[in-house]
Amino acid sequence: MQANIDTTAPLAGEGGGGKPKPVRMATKLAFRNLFHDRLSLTVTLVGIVFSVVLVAIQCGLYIGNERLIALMIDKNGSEGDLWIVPHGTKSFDDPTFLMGHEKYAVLSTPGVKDAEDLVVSFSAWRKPKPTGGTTTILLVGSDHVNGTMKPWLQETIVEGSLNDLRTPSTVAVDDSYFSALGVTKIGDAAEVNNIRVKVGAVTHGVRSFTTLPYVFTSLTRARSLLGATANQASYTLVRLEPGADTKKVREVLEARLNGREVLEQAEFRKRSVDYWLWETGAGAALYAGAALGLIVGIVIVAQTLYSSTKDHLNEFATLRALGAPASYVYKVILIQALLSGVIGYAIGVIISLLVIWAAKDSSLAIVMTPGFAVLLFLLTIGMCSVAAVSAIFKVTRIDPAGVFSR
Amino acid sequence: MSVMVEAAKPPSKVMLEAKGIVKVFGTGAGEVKPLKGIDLQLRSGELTLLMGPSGSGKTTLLSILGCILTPTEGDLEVAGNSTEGLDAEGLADVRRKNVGFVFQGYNLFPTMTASENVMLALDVRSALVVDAPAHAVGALDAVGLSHRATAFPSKLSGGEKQRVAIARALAGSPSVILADEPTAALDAENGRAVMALLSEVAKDPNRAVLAVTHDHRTIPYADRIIRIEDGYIVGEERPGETPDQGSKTHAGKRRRSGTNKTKALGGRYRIRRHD
Repeated sequence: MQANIDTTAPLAGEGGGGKPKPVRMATKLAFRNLFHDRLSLTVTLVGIVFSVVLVAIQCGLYIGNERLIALMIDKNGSEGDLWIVPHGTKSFDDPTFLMGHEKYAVLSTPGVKDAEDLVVSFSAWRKPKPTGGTTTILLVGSDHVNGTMKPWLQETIVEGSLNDLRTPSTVAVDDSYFSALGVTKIGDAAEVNNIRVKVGAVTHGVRSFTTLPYVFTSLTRARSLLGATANQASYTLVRLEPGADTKKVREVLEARLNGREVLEQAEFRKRSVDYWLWETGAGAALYAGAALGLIVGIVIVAQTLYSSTKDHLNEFATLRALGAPASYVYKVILIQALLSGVIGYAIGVIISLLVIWAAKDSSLAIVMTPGFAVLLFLLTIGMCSVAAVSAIFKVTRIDPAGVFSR
Repeated sequence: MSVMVEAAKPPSKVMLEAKGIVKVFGTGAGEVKPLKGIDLQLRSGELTLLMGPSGSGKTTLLSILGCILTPTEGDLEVAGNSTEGLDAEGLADVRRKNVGFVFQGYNLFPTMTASENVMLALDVRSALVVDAPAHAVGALDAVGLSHRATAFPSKLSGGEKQRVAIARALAGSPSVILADEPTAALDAENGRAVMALLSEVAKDPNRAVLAVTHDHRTIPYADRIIRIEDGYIVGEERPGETPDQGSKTHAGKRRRSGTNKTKALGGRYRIRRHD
């Protein structure tokens, strides 16, 4: 019989049953290290939150602007449709007129189910007195009775109805542009290209990327206001028969419509977005802001994590002396970084959502989609992981023999 | 089953063996040779003290025996595992599985409670246990500190910290415990308590304990004392085996007493026994 201290046999308070399992303490150690120095944690979180909010707002602006730019294309056409556009068209908001009669040429093409003309043009809007003055608008004429835009317009109308646009000289305007247009309610009158019009319906939330107000009216009235011929349009939207070969129909249309371009829905969308966001440099500026946010985040997190690792260097050396593999020490540091990332992301996203909510009625189009929220989370985790590299590099040079007295 | 009589001492096993250990730091004019040829065995059931003046090579030898440093020449086997040719991770694996450390400065994790410090060692050693918190409290109970399981190191006295460190060293039941100046930071009473505890730990027939020390108050607890000077072992003695001194040492006394309470610890530690 031996008398000794035994730490392997079942001990006081330990039940005899149950399956032995590994002890997991790395996360707890990382958590305690993180919350031990509240000031350092605060600095880390401020850095991450700043970064998350900046990236969320900048990328949210990009997504919002992309949606605004493509709004009319998305609401009119759908996947598989073709657009007949004037040659050299840069975007939906950069309209000129087609030659005319394209709709009939299209309808006689095999594989085409239907075609719809859209008239879009810059116009002069003279505000009613006492405001007075003239502003440029983007007049959109469409078939509001049978056209593809009808359901969406119906959804957005908050005063009046689409049927009211049947009344001669009637237009629909968005309430967010009341001030720019000098109108306040249904029945207010103004002039488009020196022709009197009356507000017959009011929409809500229909904004343009260019800040020029959209003014909706019927196809016939738009042609009349713009001095276009009866069969002239800015764009002709082509819907194909189910099962029709888009590529073949496109080739036929291109052959028949010389001097005009035939674009697929996604192609027209991309061309419009690329023009406004990349050719003008607006998109690059938004992405540069987001990249700056990421860099600032990485620098701040790396700095504070490195500092925290230095503070706990003796503990990491002890871990190594106890036999912990280097990967265990890296794991603790990475968990610290990831915990910071998760907390910082949560706070950052809440602040971003508050900013988006506050800006919902402003001219800023900021959008947070579920997919972008997930991407932002992964980006935050990636940022914190990269930031952990300097701290990990520091502990790779730990000498476990340093734990002994000299 | 608790007993009040002395059990027959089982034959001891070699738990650690070092042969011809030489260590050289630096090269050329800056070359330093703290160890010049050390042969050493640590046997189970023994508390060995390694004593010597400053600069004699004690800490370097401890680092090599603990698989933290590699010798320039010589062979080392820990619990039957040769360390020859192992890289840093291989050495870490050997010490993780076989070596427990007790440090002069305790080296407890300040953000973890006493029981969490023990659990951390269980995690590092990849130990499999049914109920880790209960296991850790049990280990603390073995050193008389179960009532301080939830205390953070900042709330513990020096003696308590060192006892937690011993409980941590025992977690996972390593074959060899290496203690670096375990009493240097403690007052006389706590120093005695810690040495008594280490001598109890050393009674395990499957464990050897080596303590590097300057402290002559620790001598009465030793089964064996190795003296090192200028990189060589210059002497070895076994106080408990000296016929006219054996009865005067703690080692001799505790072999005969067989009590399940350690008098040196004021009867506070219940020492677990098994047949």
